[in-house]
Amino acid sequence: MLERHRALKLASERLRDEDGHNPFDIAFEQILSPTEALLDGRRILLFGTNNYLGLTFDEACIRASIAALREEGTGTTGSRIANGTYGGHAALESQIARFLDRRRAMVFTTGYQANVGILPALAGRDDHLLLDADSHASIYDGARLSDAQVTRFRHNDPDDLARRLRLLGDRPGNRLIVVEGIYSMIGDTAPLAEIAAVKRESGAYLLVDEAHSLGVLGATGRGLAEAAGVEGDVDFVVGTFSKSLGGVGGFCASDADDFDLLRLASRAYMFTASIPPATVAGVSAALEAMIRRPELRADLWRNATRLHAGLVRAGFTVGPDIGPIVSVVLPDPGTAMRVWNRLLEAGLYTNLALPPATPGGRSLLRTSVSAIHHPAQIDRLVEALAEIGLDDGLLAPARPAPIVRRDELALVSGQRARSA
Amino acid sequence: MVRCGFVFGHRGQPGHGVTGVLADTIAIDRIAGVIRSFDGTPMAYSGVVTPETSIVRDLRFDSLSVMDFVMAIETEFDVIIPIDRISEIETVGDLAHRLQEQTAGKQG
Repeated sequence: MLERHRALKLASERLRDEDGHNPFDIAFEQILSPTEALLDGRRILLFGTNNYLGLTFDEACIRASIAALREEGTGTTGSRIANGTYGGHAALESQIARFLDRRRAMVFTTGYQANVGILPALAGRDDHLLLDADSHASIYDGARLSDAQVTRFRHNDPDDLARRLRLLGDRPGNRLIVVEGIYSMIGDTAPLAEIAAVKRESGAYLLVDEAHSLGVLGATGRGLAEAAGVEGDVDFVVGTFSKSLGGVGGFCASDADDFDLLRLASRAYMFTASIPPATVAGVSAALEAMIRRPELRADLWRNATRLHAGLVRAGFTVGPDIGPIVSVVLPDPGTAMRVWNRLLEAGLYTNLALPPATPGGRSLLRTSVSAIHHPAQIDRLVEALAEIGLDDGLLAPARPAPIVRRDELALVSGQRARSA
Repeated sequence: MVRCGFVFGHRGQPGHGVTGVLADTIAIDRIAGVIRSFDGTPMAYSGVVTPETSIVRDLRFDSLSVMDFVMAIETEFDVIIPIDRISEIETVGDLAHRLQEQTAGKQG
């Protein structure tokens, strides 16, 4: 039965034959901090996590987790609609709703399940889902599970979105537009103000997945909708606990009437065990920390700016937006593998993203920063990449450094307004 | 945009054959144009594009490129092809027929 994965087998054998590690097969012997780990007995710097605020080792979060572990045990052993809802789950939902200024929120066991649960529950047979082309796999999977008609619009293109809505004309059913705050491969943001304008004109609904943007964008870290000033146009907010909040889990929040009906309409909510109490407590503490400590977001942006500027100055082609994800475009998969491995040899872990899993079929070295990286560590990454780039013939030697623009450096606590 | 004949593009419908063929030819020419200018074409496809040209086999598109290619077609023809219908489209001829259905739907 596994015959049909022949192509995958060939690709993975090719990866194993290359010298060095297989990026899909990395197992850290020990995690030392949000930014360091042991691999092959060596200390390496982690520049390929989603630990944006560095909260996985936060004392308050760990304390809260341990307390819940001791008081409530290792797991709920049940579904949210059976025995799996403890006080902590309900409290976390209220906390999220309050933070996002929404009437209700529901918590799923993973962010993946949030999309796979919410999209089929919201969009039915006569409805239409319009997804950004670069949407995450969980959004595509959720769309596929739903009975709705699904179309994808050109990435970050409000005109193409408007065109498709116009083509749908007055066909019956609801339209639900799905976009992300920050796209996970290239780290670019959606033109949310323009998309919200299209949504208003067409009478469609809008869902924003703030997976990578919660805790990262917006004056209070509510995400891109806050940063773009269009929270009023967003009908459903989806998010995850596995990035800024350092745990695992997902949520959907909304002001919709009868929102709680979705608890009985989402299969990925009902037919799965709920988040263990220790994780609920850790995430709740992380959310509190995020709210109380805006300096975490300021530190993250300082680091993101430093990394982006450094890579641009070195001569690399990176994505259009400054953010915690900075992806370097490389000419082909072989080069990308080689650069990724040489970086790892130099003690720097990053992510590798290869076609066909990447937008536009590009080969990407994806790097990401945390609030708790030291500037010197970021400089180390830039230096090492530049060295490898020069050596590999990717960069021309002795380029005059472009002047780094002031507006690239002057970012205020994660506030990034997009012009309408 | 050329509209003549697009309403009658259904396969196997007697009496509509001639207009159907004309419409197919026009569509296939425009599809060939998209293929030639499409950024994602792994090899510059220099072969002749016929109704039998297989999108996956001959054009060598992987699963993501097929979707991007369909998006380019949607823009060229100003239609929507829902994602779940894409797997039904194997050849350029299938695509031409699908496009006629869509355009017919618009007019109807």
